[in-house]
Amino acid sequence: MIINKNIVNEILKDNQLTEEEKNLGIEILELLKEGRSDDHILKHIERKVTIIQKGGKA
Amino acid sequence: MEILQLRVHNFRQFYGDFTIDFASGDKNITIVAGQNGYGKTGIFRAIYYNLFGLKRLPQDADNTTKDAELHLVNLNKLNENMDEVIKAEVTMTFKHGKYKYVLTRSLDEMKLSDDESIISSEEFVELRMIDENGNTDPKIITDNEKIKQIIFDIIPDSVKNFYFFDGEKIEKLAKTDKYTRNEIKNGITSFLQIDDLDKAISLLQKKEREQNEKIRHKSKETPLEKAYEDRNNLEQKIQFTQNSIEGLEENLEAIKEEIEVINSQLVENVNIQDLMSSLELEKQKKDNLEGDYNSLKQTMSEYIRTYGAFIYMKDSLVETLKILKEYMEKNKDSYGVSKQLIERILTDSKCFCGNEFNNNDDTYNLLLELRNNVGDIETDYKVSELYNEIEEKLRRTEEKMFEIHNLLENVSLKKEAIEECQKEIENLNSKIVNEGINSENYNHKELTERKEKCIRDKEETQAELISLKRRKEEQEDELKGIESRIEELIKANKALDIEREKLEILVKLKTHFLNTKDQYMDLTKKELSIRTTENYKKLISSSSQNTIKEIHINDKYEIDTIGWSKDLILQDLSAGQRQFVALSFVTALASMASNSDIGDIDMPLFMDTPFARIDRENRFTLIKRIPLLTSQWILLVTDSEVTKDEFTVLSETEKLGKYYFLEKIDEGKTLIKENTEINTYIQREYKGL
Repeated sequence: MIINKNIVNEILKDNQLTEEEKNLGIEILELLKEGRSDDHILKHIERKVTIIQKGGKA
Repeated sequence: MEILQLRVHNFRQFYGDFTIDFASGDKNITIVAGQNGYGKTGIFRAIYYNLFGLKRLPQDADNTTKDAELHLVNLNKLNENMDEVIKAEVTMTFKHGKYKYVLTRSLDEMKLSDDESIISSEEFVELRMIDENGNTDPKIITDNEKIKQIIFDIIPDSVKNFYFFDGEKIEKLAKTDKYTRNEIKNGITSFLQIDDLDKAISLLQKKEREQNEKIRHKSKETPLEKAYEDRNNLEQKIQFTQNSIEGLEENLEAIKEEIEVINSQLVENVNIQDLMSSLELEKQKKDNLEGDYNSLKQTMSEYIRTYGAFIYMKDSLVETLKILKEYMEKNKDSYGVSKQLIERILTDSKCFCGNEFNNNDDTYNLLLELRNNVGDIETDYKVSELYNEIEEKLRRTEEKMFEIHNLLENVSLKKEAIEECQKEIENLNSKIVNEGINSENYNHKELTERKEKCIRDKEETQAELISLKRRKEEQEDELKGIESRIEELIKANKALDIEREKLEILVKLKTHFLNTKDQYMDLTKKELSIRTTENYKKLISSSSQNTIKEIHINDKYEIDTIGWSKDLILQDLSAGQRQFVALSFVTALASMASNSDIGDIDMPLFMDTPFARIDRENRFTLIKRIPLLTSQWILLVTDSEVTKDEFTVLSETEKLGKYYFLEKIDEGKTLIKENTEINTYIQREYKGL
């Protein structure tokens, strides 16, 4: 394959996003790969976004 | 991956035991010939079942039958042996990397005599792996999931269909309809394996909507709530416009298809048929002329780039040459005598011979006059050099001017010929219309009138589409304005800071995922376009190459063919040429799926009845070129596709390795037979090579 999920991760590493945001991106992809439910992933996003937002303020 | 052998036992229509040894290496073409309905697709089905455990093929039209009702054991065998267990088995031997794999998949079935129902056992599957030294791994794998993983590592699930093509699929790909777009889009999406990325985008969008809803909830009866309302209303309007655009696009496709159908019906009229053939020829002639015209123009622009300045300055150069010549004429007597030397003699008042003179002597006055007339020796030399250089440039410029003049004449002749062709095309088109209208056959009159109406509808729909797309752009611009207003209003309200920051994180991540996806899609489309164009040039005969300059996959996932005159000409191509474009595309997909270099497919390429609509010359070119693109070419053909002529060309490629044919002895009873005559011939012919 010329482009695959590994490269998706590669590009994710090389971006303008903060470390925490990059991690959240990779976590979403990993949860999807694990076959987790939409609800589970949405809750994870909610929780992580709250943490990132608080961290940003600190 | 190389498929070495396929063994089928009472599988589907194959009654008994049969083996196909596939050709590989230098002789990489295997042919399985059989009339329609004899079981060509059955070979492909056996391979598909063996590798992936799937009973159904992607192209199977009948999707209503449940898998449990699809029986793999030959029905004749079951009927002949009521209440007995009969096995259907497929074994395939293939090589990949340093291992040889022997994969067997089988199933027992039994037909009960009392109610004629068929009962099936669980499937049995086993995989043996043999290393490069011929040692069989003692661990025989029987876990289906494990086997699936091993097979998907060799052929990824998402790309498995790119190596198997039938004539019908190629035919469909060659059309510019929704099916083609979806097929291409699915192809690209499969390559990228971006299903997870798509899902992530949709989840982030959902979360973004929820977050916006939270903010909206906290901003009741404020300008922010109003702005949110405006946004929702506008989004609905945009969606409505988009739906209308899609509806019109579908209409347009339907109109285009109807025109094609009418054209094919009109061809039934012999007179129209003749006119259509003349039209096809005239179009081909025009394409070739346009190719020549553009190549002449290119040569001319190169000449003008190199000699343009000289041509422009020719008069002043001639004038300069005249002045330089006068200068050289004037100084020709003293040419070679240095002014500096005369100066020195005058200063020393002493000649070479030793005679001295003074300022009143005639010698002094003569030398003085000579000094005034003599030029500087270096200047003389440079003038002479310059003269020669300009003279040479002028000579070449005149030569090139002559050539440019000829080119211009040719360009103008070609242009006239193109205009003539265009006139003839218009003339033939109107003759076709008149022939239809005046035809005694009522059907043709009706068809022609319908076609005229379709053409008018097509033009109107196209105009309406342009206007709707413009409206959508305006609405999207307006939406951007509202979104910035929402952003400002949220920022202005400090109480919303926390929710705003959360929203920003979600939007940032979503935008990043969207950009990543776009970037991938773009890269793949470009790569696919390059490979398709390369393959087209390799596959098509040289006489047809002038028509298409480039093929690319556009933003709407359509195959665009670009002629030398930069027009998009897919609709103007003949059915055969369109098939070539589609074939180039599928071979490009296959080469990308096998992660190979351009023009190199490291996987077996199956083609089911691919030659049906390809003309003779291009069919021969295809036979010669495809084996060079792929490691194995397995052709499932009808007898009429490979006649004596095709066989001669196949033999000349020195790539034909194996030839089998299918023999149907009864309904549901097909035998696979080796064509020993041809295979012996192949062996004998190649022995000496």
